[in-house]
Order: sequence, then structure tokens, then C-alpha cells
Amino acid sequence: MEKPTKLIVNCATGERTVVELTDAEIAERDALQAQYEAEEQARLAAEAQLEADKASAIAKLAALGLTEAEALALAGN
Amino acid sequence: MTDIYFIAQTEVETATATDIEFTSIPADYDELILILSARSTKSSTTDNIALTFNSSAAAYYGLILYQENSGTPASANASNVSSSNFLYATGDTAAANCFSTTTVRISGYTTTAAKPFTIESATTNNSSSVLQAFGNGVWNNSSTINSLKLDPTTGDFMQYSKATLYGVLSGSDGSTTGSSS
Repeated sequence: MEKPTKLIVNCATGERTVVELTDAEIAERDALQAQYEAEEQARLAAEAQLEADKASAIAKLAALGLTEAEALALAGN
Repeated sequence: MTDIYFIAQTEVETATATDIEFTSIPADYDELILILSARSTKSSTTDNIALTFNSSAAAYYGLILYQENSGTPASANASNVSSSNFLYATGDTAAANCFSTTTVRISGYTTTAAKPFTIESATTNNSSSVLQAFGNGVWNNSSTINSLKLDPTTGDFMQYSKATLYGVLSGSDGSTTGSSS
């Protein structure tokens, strides 16, 4: 299987080269990708929870007699 | 008086490249400015790009980010992380030929102090699903920055992605110091 490549530009000489990633660099890249995906999933879950909490709060406020506009204003929408 | 000098530029001329790396950065300037135009192979409208200095994956980075993603504001911060992934590339599901635009300004890169940097980054997708972000960070390391690597965290750089590095000289007495390398 063909290895991924990186593009290197040497600022001292201006030389540009295309170099295959080493096994260590591939492993580092895979780890970075896994870390990012985990962080992204956590962020999306937190966003979804916040929206669910807001909807629940609005419903409870409406049950107490607030209008929808008043409840949305309290929820920051 | 401040003068800006071209250092180097590179463009992905073949199908893709996993990373773009500037090496042997001269220590002749006060600041560095990186301009990046990027599109990633990630099957999304955006992809993050990790920025690392001196090929160091050690946890020397602290970051704060403010962004707006298709109308939704958000913020994030991170401390003691191994790279700055608060740069963005337009992803491959965005409209054809759309690339992100990013500027990174790195101050005092030759000093022994921690190196602060600012980021402005925006993806493009004609009129919808765009992300724009600005933030700042610090590389808490005493070494001079002599290399700089850009790595999309999920995809690879697509053809015609381009990165350009500039050096900035600021005269301490109001005049320009040094000369272009």
C-alpha cells in the first residue's frame, strides 16, 4: 500500500520535496485524528444536551404560565 | 516602520498531501506571518488543521478560540495540548473550488520567551455552511521556532492548497532594521 506523503519546503534553499511519512509519523497522525474525533464527539454531545435542557426548561416554564416568548427570552433564544 | 518579507511558498501540485511543512526557517525576523489557502479531502464542509512548531508533539500549547459556524457562535479553550488545531480547511463536500483562508501571526519566534500567536481562519462554501474563527494561543517553549507543520486532522490537503510564509521586521526607532534575506 502506498504511504501518504508530506510536502516540505526548505526556507533556506527554497527546495520543495515530497516525502513519504515514516511509520512513527503515520502513528502520530492516527493518534491525533482519534483524539480530535473524540473531542468533536464530546463537543457535539454537550451541544445536544444543552439544547435538550433548554427545551425542557421552556416546557416547564410554559407549564407555570409563562408565554412562549417569555420562556424563550429566559432561555436566551 | 514595519517591513514584510517573503520567505517561502508551496502549493500542493499533485492529488493530495498529508502535511505541509516549512523547515529551516531563518531567525532573521521579529515575527512570522503564515497565509494558508486550503481544502481538505474530509467528507464534510470543514476540517481542522493542526499547527505544530519544531515537529514537537509535546504539550506546550495553550489556546483560546471564538468561532461562528453557519450562524451559531461558540468558544473553546485548551491548555497543555500537543498542537493548535484551531485552523480550518474547507472540506470536500463544500462547493467546488472553495478554499479556506487563514492567517497566523507568530510573535517573538526567536526569543526564549513563550511565543504568542493569533489566528484568523474562515472556510468558504459559496453562501452556506461556513465557519469563521479567530483566536490566540501560546507555544510555551524557549526554543527558537525553526520549522512549522500543518496537518489536516481528518483529511489531507487537496490539490491547489497553498501556504506562504513571511517574515516581519519592526524598527525599534521607527525605521526598518536589517535587510531582506
